[in-house]
Amino acid sequence: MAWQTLPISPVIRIEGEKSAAFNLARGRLVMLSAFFILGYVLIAIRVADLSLVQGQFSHLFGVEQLAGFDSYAPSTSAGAALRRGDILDRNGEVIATSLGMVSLYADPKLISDPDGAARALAGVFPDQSYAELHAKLSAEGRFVWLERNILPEQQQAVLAIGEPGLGFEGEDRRIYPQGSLFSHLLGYTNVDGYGLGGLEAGLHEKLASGESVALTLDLRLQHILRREIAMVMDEFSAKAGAGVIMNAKTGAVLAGVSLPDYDPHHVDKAENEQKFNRLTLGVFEMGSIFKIFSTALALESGNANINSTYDAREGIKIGRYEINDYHAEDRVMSLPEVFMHSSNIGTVLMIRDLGGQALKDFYNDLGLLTPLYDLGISEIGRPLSPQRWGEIETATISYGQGIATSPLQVAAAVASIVNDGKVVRPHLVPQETSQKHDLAVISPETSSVMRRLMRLTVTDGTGGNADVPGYMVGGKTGTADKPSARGGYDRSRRISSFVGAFPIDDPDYVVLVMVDEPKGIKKSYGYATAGWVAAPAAARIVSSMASVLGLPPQNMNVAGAADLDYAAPLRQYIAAEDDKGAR
Amino acid sequence: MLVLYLVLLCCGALVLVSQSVQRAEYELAKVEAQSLALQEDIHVLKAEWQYLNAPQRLEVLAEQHLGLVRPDYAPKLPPSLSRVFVSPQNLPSPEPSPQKPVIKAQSPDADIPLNSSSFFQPVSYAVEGVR
Repeated sequence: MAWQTLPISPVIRIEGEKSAAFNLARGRLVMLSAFFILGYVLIAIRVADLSLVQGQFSHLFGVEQLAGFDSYAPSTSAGAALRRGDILDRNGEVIATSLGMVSLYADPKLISDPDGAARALAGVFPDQSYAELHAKLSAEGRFVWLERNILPEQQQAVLAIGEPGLGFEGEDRRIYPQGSLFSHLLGYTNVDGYGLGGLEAGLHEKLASGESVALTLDLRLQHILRREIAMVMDEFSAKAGAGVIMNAKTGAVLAGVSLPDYDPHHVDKAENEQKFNRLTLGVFEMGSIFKIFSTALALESGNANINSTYDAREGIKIGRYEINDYHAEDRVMSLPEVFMHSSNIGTVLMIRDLGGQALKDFYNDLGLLTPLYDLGISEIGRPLSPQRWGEIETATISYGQGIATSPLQVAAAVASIVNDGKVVRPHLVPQETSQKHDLAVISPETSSVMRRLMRLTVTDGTGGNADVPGYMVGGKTGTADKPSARGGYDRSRRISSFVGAFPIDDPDYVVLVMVDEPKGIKKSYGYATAGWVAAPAAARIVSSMASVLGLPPQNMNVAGAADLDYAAPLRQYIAAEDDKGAR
Repeated sequence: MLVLYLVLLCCGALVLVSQSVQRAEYELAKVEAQSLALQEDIHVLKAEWQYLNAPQRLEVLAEQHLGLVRPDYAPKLPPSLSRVFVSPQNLPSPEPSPQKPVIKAQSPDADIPLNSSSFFQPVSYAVEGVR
């Protein structure tokens, strides 16, 4: 056989024209096998790595198992980035936050034993009945909530039931650590974390994006205000109350209260009466407080000065109406006396020559006729004022009847008057650009006279009970009869209010207290007027504010303290007038 | 052969590097998870701190345990009654001025000095009547 004679060698050499092609093929074969060998080696190493190194000897490296991660992950890891932002007060105290909680749901299709599961669940959740739970567990569909925001112990008990169709879902719940303290301004959210009232609704987009918002409110002042208004309501068996503390220079609302209020965690249990925000949504005829504005206009227009006198001996007859004084003085009074004794007659006479349009324009500049839509909450009341400001309307509006505004608007307007006439706008969220309103409604000189008049009202007039020694409170009382259901006014149902500013020589704060339908008591000699109801409450608020904010009192017992008596010139003036009259 | 050794050496080095990278990644994930859990704890504790420090709660505690009391403001006389309590300089002088006839208590018909500053009169009568 020919092939046996061929020389056998380990390498077949093919020579000739085919050798190049053969070498190429052999090279490819070697490359391919090397590739596969390397691949198998890598796989073998990986297998050894996973099974031996990571499996058996992991403790030598101190490496935790992958499965161990889960125990560190928070229950709401997916929602952590989207957690609703906190609401903070001006000092960074948390007044609304969201906490991760667990909710229980069922997949009825996977429930193996609806009877047993429902019985066991009824034991864990006493507020749910067996029948209710059974109906949910045997319902059609793949998902039904059984209980939202359950306690850790309840979760443990549900796990112990061992029903495969029950599942848990991490959810955030809105928590208000101070309970009902801020309820009307903050509002509330529904169970799905959607803002439904107050700032929770107004700031919803910002909060839902996870951003925290700091407000102008001060937790401590809010507490003081709420405590004192609750106390005065209790003392005088009042139906409702409201109040605000405002920075007189910027309009920042430091505290705002409307009572009765509600627990924002259980809004469904609150009555409508409790949910009604009297501070911003309610509009009221605030009464004599409006004499601040009317008197300021009379002084500013040059139509009156502190030497002007008004004959308050007889009521003013306009058409079929007659305007009389509540604190009747029955004499000719100077302008400061008209203000401090809160004479309706004097105020009407002061404004009479100016006309309705001038008063309307002035009130409009003070923001008393337009709703405060830029406050940031949706509960904003629309002020009520007559279409036509005729003689009688202008007359009654000059002393605060026949015009209804929210208490917050009135506080802001008073702040504008005492702030050298520069208009301030109330706000709850700090304004990014310092919105300096250059609009001045009255001159600094008129503002100064107004502040002296307000001080005089507290030292010598109707607001005597609002005085806090050392803090120079100035203010004005307002006692307004409420409109009665039969038309006209009801003298037994009143709104008693006081607005004050301090320190009155250069006010930093405006405080407003409003009490709805107070009843006279023995301590107040049967009176339920503002001087007896709202003014003492304002004094307590100012006094508590001073200690919380660390405001030092002015010592009135040192030499030269008489110069600090802001109302002294007016008092001397009145005394001199009295002397003249006596001669 | 040299190539094979080099390949094996590289493989060994790769295993070591990949091991240390995995270890570092595990550590990182663990620390991140711990940090998230601690943040969650802080969040809950902050809410609890605010709850425990709510002013209405502190106030009750201060009254109960520290004996602190709030200042009491006794209201003054009603403003409409205060007119009879005039400021001191307006009160009639206790010394009868020589021009004014002194009213004798026993003679109600005697000349009364008419003072047009009307509402101070009752007080001045009382004072002079006592003399």
